[in-house]
Amino acid sequence: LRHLHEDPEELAALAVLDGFGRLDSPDETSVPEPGDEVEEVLRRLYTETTALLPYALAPVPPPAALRGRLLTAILGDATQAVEDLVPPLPTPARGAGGSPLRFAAERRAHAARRPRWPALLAAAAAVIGVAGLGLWARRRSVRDFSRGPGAARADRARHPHRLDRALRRPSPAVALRRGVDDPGDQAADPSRRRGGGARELRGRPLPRGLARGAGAARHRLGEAAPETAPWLVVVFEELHGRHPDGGKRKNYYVKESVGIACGLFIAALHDMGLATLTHTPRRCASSPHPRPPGEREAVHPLPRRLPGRRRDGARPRAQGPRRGGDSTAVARLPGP
Amino acid sequence: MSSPPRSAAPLRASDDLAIVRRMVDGDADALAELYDRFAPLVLAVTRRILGGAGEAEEALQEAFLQAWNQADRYAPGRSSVSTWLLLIARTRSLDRLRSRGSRDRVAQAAAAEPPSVDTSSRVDDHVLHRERSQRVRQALAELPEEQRRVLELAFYEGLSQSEIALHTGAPLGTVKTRALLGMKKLREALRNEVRELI
Repeated sequence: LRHLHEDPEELAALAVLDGFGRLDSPDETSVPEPGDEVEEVLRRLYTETTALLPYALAPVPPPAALRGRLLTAILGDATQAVEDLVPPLPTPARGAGGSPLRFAAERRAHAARRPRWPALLAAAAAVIGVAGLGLWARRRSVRDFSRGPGAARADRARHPHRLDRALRRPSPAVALRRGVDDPGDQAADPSRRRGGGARELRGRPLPRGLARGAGAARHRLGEAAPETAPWLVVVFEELHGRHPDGGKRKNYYVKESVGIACGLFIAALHDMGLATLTHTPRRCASSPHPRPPGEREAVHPLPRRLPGRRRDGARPRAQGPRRGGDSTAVARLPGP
Repeated sequence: MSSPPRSAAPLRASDDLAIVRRMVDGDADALAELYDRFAPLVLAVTRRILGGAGEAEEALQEAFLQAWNQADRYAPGRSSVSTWLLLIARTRSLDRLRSRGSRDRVAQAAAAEPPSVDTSSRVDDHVLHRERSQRVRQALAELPEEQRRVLELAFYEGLSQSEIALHTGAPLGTVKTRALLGMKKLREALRNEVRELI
């Protein structure tokens, strides 16, 4: 067989021969990759062989009834439009129990009811669209109900881009530019940096244009809560309860359950016309709000930032809270 | 709806092509003609691959159903109508065979008698294919046993070259060589047949 392996075409042939069955993995053969021309030669050889082999078999006359069954099933009623048979359908299972006659009948049935779907889908889309527009129209922004004169910039200040700037000492040029184009950002300069900046800021009135809690200096619950937030929502996880006899009853999947509940709650708020969740303040445990026994503050990611990119082009960090971090959500809702 | 089964008719590629074109136009009688011409050969292939009569007949029905639905995809330049139809039948049969699981297939191939060509002198009912069948059988019978075995395992069992190597115990390279040599010899011996079929 040596001569066979010296011929490049024959070598390539060995690689493509697996088309006879199914392709083997490439690492099972060391022959070179066949080119298109060689592939064509071998494809022809393969086709010729497969065309010849069936003729080695003795023909088997099919049962007489099979012809009638087949033609009836495929062609169906003489009035059935042939075009209805042609469109592709979901591929039927080809298990041992599958009957091609049944597939053909299903094909005809499907073709018969096909024209109804576009109208139904269009109607459903219209209903959903109208309902969605209604919901959208009822939504409100914090700008719509805040009493502060700078509320129009409140959620701009919450943008990650702005937040990121607030945490850095800006260059004089940047500070100068901020002072010109956005008075709300004046407060973000250096007093809003971590540590000393936050301490300096504490006790000073914040400009109306800058939402509290947007930077490193977050306000704490109970001190200087946003004036325009009529509702304060505190979520606790019930880690365990009590049996009637006083014994401890452990709850399972607490975080998952509370997370789902928070999701439903937020969806309901939005449906009611919620504008925004202004922020998720930290240190709920030390807040004046009592924490029920057996419960702890829930730590769940709540939407509190607007999408955007940081100044350096990096993607904003994940919105999930850090351990010991965000624990409650303060929601601004339309007033009564 | 369709004409009754026809008696044997001359096997001409132009006739077959005309049948397929009529099928594309939605002519139900054309499908019946195609069935009358090739159903015995198609059933021979499906029975050879699947064994049982019931499943073989279902594979035959699937093949004709696909031929009817996809008649417009037939490319006359690539193969004859009979080759196109027989390859459809083979594919549908192998689909069913593979649904039984590859282990079963290898086990069945190992347990089964070596598939041999039909060299009996019985008279075929279908006169159209008799002479061609005899020539193909003769050419196959002249192949070395191991080459013929590789071709039959690949075509009728749908085994890959690796599976054939596993089944026969021969190295993979040897299996590929045997397959290639077998195909080339077959083509050399049946040049006239190939010209008619392709």
